Amino acid sequence: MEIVAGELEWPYETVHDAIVDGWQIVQFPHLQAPFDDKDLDVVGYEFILQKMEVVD
Amino acid sequence: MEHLLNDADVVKFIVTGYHITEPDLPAGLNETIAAKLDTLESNPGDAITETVPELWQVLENARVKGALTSLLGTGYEVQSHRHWHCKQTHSGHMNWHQDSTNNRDLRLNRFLGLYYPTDITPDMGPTVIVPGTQYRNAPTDRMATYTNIKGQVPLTVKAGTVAFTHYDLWHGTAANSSDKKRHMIKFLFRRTQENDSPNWDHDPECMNRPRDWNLKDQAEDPANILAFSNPLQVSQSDHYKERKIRRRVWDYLNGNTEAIPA
Repeated sequence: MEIVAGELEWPYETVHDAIVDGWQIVQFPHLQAPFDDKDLDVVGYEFILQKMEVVD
Repeated sequence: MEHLLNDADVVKFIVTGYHITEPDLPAGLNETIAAKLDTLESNPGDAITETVPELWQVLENARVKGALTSLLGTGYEVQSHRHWHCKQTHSGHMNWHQDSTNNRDLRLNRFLGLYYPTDITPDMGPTVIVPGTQYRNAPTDRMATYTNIKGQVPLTVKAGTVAFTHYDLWHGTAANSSDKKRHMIKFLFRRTQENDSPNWDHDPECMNRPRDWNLKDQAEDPANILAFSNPLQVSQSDHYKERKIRRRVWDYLNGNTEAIPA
C-alpha cells in the first residue's frame, strides 16, 4: 500500500465490518498510558488485520 | 494592509494546519520559473533563489505577504533555508513524516510555504497532508505502518499556488507516475516578535457570539470552527485536548503570550 492522491476507496467502514467479512485481528491498538493528558501523539485505533484465503 | 486573513481564516489554520493562497502573479512568471527548474541539473539547496531569482516575486506578492503578516506578524522573516523539491518522473511515494526532530512547539512561530509553479495533478506526485495532525507529536517510526489516512488532502493545486503548512503537520508525497517533473519550492518563515494584538483582519467580538449547535463546524463562524471542527474524526477525549490546544494557540496569537509559555 502506498500513499495515493486520487479518490480513496475504503473496503470497510469499521474494523467490525471487516471481521464480519472474515478478517482476523492480529494486533490490537497499543494502549498509550502512561501519558501526559495534555499531549497528543499518534492516531489511535490502529488495528492490524489479516485474512487467509485459498488461492487457486 | 491588503489581503489580510480574517478571523475564520486564522482559526481554520489553527484547526487544520494549512492555508491555501492563489496569488495573482504576473503573467508568465510561473512558466518562467518552471522552465528554469526543468533544466536544472543539480540542486542548489538554499541558493535556489539565486539560481531562480524570479522566486522572490512570489514572496513579494501582496496575497502572500498578507497571509504571512496575518499569521506571523509584521516583522516576519523569510529564513535562509529553502529547498527545491523535484519529484522525478516515475518515482515512488514518500511515507508520512513530520519535519525535524520531535521537539515541538505549540507557539505558532514558524511554518512552511510550498510554492508550485505548475498545475499539480494527482498523477504528478502531489504533497499529501493530513489536516489536524499538527499537534500530534509522532516519531516517524511510529507512523511507518500508516498508509492512507481518512481525511488526508492531496495538494492538487493550480500553478502559482502557495500552500502555507504548519511546521508540524504530517505530510508525505504520492508517487509521480506521470512523464512530468513535479516542482515545489519550500520556504520557511519565522516570527521575529510576539504579538501584542492580532495582526489580521480581526473582529474583537468574533468569539463572543453564541455557538450554532445545528450547523456546528459548517457555520463560517470562528467560534464554531474552533470548537466543533474535527478533521481527523478523533474520539471525544482527544477532541477535548485538541480544542484546548487550539484555544491556547488562538489566545497566543491574540497577544496573550502566557497562553503558551516559551
